[in-house]
Amino acid sequence: MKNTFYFRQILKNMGVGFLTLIALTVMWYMMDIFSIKEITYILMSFFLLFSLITTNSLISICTPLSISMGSSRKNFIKTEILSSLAITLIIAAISAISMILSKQFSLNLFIMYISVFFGLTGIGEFVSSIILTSNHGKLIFTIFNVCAGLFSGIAAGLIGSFGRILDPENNFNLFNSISFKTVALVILISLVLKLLFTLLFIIRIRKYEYK
Amino acid sequence: MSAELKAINITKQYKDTKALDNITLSITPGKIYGLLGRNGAGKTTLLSALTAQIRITSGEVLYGEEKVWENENALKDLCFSREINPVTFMGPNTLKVKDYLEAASSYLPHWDKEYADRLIKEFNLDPKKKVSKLSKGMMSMLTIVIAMASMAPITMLDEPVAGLDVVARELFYKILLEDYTKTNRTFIVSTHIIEEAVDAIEEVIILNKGKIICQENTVDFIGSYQLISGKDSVIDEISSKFEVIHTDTSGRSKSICVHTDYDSAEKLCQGYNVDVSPLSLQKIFVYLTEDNK
Repeated sequence: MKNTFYFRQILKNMGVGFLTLIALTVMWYMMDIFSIKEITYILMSFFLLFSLITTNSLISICTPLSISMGSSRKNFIKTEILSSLAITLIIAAISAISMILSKQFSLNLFIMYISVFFGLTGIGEFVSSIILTSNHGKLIFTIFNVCAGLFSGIAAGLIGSFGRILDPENNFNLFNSISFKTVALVILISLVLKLLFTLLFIIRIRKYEYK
Repeated sequence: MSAELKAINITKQYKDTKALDNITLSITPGKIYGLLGRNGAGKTTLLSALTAQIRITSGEVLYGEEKVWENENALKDLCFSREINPVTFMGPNTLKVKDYLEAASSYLPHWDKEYADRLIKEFNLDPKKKVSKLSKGMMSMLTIVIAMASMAPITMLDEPVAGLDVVARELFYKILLEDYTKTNRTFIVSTHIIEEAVDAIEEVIILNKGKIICQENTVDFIGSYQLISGKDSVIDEISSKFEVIHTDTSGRSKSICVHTDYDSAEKLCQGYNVDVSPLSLQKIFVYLTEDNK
């Protein structure tokens, strides 16, 4: 029961983002700015923003709320870790659908993308734990969200151009030529990042005090 | 079923400041407690410590025989509806009133939705308004709604009447007493407006500079302090017979606040031309917590 509010907040938070992106996508497509495949690249890079901002905003809102309403820190951490998995699964489903709709599916790209996304949720968790325990929380929150937005925007631009330059045929199969070693390395780095940052998040939130 | 909530030698240290200094306290079920203290006395810190919202530096808080810290089983019976800080950008401030209530209904296991809806109407709160856009008084009303509808066996309210007009304050005490009569649950109410709370408070807890200086039945506590007034020479003569906690001089008249019951004061003052009169809770509180104490 205690977790339902958190999950509803995730859906609400992501829902607004998705609607905005869908509107943008339709606009780009109608105006013939990008091809459907390029739009898929761009959307996927924008989704990375969700991993950072959604995780960060949700934790910043829900930690004080749940602790002030009698939830234990342990339960909150459990809910949050499950949520980051849930967000990753939602994004995995959406990006897989996007790839299939754009008539190209690259397993390598998909796996690497999802592991990077999962790794980034760890950074979102860690930053939010700093925001919650720091005296300059509001400033860090603003800087982080602006940076995450910029990062995502730059990533979208780069990936969009990258798609055009390196993948002129608009063929995701480009990623299928990436070696297994590279894919494994990306997965490993992402998982280590996630593990490390989530661990730091747990350590900080276990000491969290309502301000 | 509610159990006793106990704080045993709890201390909370913030860098150089001791916000709570070795406090031992017992909250027995079925009473309304008034937590009184000056600004910065440690009231919010104490309530936060009792509900595990902050870590204590030493000591322990028990609900029945169980530790409260990180114990969902104990925490489900405790509700601390804190003052909403309008400058904070996190927590409830980011939500609309209806979302905040929805959060409360998810987190608080004894939540009574119908009661919450009724109180929202009684206080005329707009559920669609963002919490951060509410006035100070309306924020207080919202914390009252959360506390009352939580139906938690031990419910704590932090400055519930702060910013409320006199009509809303009367409404709050009416709701509090009606609820208490019906449910017999335990309330701890921290307040600065002492005289309005005195009729509702069964037991008074006074906190001063992080220490509890009194925890007593309200009527007994008020009855244990008297004001003796008369000519300064007479008052000077009899003052040695009492434990004097405060002295006031005005021209050649003098009055002293003494720690004794009315009958004893009358008896010791027999033969002297002085007046013995009872004091209000607010006056006693002021005398006990003034800076030169």
